[in-house]
Amino acid sequence: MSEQSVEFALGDDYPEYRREVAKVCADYPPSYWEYLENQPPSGSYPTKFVEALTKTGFLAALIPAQYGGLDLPVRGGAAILETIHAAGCTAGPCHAQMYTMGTILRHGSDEQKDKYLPKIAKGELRLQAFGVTEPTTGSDTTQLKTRADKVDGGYKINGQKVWISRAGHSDLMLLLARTTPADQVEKRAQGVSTFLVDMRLAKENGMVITPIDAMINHNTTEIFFDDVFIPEDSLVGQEGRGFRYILDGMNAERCLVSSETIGNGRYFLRESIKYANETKRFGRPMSASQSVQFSIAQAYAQLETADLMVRKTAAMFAAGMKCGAEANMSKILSGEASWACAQVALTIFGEAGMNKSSSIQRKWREARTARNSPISPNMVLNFVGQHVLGMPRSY
Amino acid sequence: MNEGTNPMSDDLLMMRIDDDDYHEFRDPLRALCDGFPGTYWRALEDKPADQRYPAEFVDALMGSGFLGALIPEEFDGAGLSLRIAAVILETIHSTSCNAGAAIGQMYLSDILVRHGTDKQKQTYLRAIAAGDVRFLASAISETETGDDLAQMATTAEKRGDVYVVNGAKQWANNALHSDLLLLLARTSPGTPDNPTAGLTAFLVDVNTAIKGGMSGQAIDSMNNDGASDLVFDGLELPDDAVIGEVGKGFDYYRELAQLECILYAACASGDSAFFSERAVNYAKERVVFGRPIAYNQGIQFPISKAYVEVQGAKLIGNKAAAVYDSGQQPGPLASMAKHMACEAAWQMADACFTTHGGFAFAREYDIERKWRDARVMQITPQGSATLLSDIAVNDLGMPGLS
Repeated sequence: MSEQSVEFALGDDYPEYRREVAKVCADYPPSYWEYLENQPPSGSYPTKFVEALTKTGFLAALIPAQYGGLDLPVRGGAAILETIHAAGCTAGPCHAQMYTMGTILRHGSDEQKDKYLPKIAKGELRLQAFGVTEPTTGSDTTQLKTRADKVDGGYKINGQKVWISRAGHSDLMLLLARTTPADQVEKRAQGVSTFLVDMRLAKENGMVITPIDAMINHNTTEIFFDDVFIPEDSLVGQEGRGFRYILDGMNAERCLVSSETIGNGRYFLRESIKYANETKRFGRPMSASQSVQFSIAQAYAQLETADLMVRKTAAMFAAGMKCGAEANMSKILSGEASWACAQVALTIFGEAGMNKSSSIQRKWREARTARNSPISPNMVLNFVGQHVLGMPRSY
Repeated sequence: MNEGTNPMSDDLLMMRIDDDDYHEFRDPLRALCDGFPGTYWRALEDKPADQRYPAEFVDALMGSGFLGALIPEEFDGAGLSLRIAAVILETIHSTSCNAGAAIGQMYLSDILVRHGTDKQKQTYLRAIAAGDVRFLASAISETETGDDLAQMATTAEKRGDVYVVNGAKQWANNALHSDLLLLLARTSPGTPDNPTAGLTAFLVDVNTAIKGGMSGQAIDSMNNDGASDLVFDGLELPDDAVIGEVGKGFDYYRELAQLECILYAACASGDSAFFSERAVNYAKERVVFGRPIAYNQGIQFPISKAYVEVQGAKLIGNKAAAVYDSGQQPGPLASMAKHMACEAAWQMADACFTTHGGFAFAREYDIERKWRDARVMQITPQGSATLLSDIAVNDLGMPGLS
């Protein structure tokens, strides 16, 4: 590892933002989320919550001031998302608004930035969909089969994407598609391009969005492209370099989603400790039993550990350092820690936690999902084994 | 970032991370440790329990000055941060060596710095910093009471101008190789509100005590940690052997235990570095079924997973040290640092053990020796249950054992 030094704050950083976010979240109690979950196919979009958050400007946390954003570093966004989840709400339906724009910011043309970023910052345009994964390729992203063929004035898209969350509630989508066939490039990562797709137009041109019924309310979808025309100016950056652009944004994304996961962990711990201290069993508080107490303390220690890795990653990202290892480690540590918190909570609450009116079971499902998504823990271990520890590529 | 909109509070503690730092400490220490390879440590383990002390290694460390890292400069110590002290121990443990025989020299004198009389400070701190006087041992736990210190049976009874000590201590590691010993004994009964009141800390001159009133015996244990029992049979200690106030010994011990936890966490992180290096190298070299076993995810993933846990645990250790170095008491954070570091080290030790297959048992690889050390470190000096309990009660507000 190369010589590197970063500094970051401990404790509740960005306290003013945390306070404001918590105020908004207080208006969206567990019953709000339960109601949404009961809407078919697997929940409906928390429109009011997202509108309230949008009004605060927090979703524009990472957008530079010149485009009307808050100009915060990644850590600022992380503190906001963590707070939302710690309050029992979920930022999943809108977190992509915070970071997907990073690809345009870093690689888009001036025209694209001027055209889209101010509206994204204001919330007038929703950029919440990120079209990467496909049914037949999963984590093997460079094998993606969706094609973008050059035609007069633009591209024709053919293919299929899956697990594209919020696509039904977004105006824009960042789409990854192959512009040069895989057998005509030196490396598989080449020949793939990134597009900023105006979904409103694309829907008129043959793009079909189908909701997926899932165990969590993430409004996730499948998207089918059948000769869907998109104009030339949809291309972000250079043709064929799209995979790189997506990777550039991954570390920030991992930092941010890890923070949500940590927020969930804080929610579980707070509720569990309160419940275990207040609930008497066998003549004493549940928390007097070491089986309860130690499992909470263990989960808490894991959560605090993961929290430091997230802070470190964000500090490295802000300093322009390579932080792929740390971002991946944040993801797996936060996922495991939050899951430990979730399991403890469900065990301690027992049936009270399984009731559909309880947020414990809802958050527990979220916590399990966070371990698989957006990156598989196996891919994290592959990354660490190969790129950090120098072992051979095993897949 | 726009400075004008920075809402960061000024009063938050900042933590600095260097991943590849302090070479001025690490390089000479590694060179020193290279002089004590696995053969040295294995030969010691072949000997009877009372002859296993790594005297040459401890001599070398004493002479190096590294163990005086935490002693303030006014007493000729290096006056370094706890972070650097941790780096020193981590580096030692990343080699074939184990700092257990000498680690006491690094932190036990903190009780003198904080609570000792001027005379105690003047008499001992410089000599400890120079390595001329060895302060390697503490006698706290007892056979019958373990971590329940309030129940300790060893007494120090005031008679005229001396204290007379009677009782027995267990796991007083390195006591028979030290000049000074920190002893915790009861001088008055505890109160219902505060059962640990009435315990007093004493500074025992081992060379004098062993001539009359104190005897010791090495414990034959599964790792070479200098374990010994001590028996006190009317040992007379002068008045000026008391450290700080009479009856406040438990509070002083609690302070010291935080330091101890952070330093042992660093040892565990060093062990983890040893295991991960050995595991990765072996996995890349060992060919089975026609290719290095590192290609097998069954081998690679446990190593990678443990490595991630180790990196996380190191951050908690760094955080605890940063809090300590800022002048605050880390409290349960120190417990968290040790717990997480030892858990991660055990995970890495076991991954390394599995990776080596049959060769893990072969003593010449040193894997089994360090693996035994890593397991023991989950239990001592503070065990996981004690540490989790500290976190649960003192950080999370759950009830203590009643």
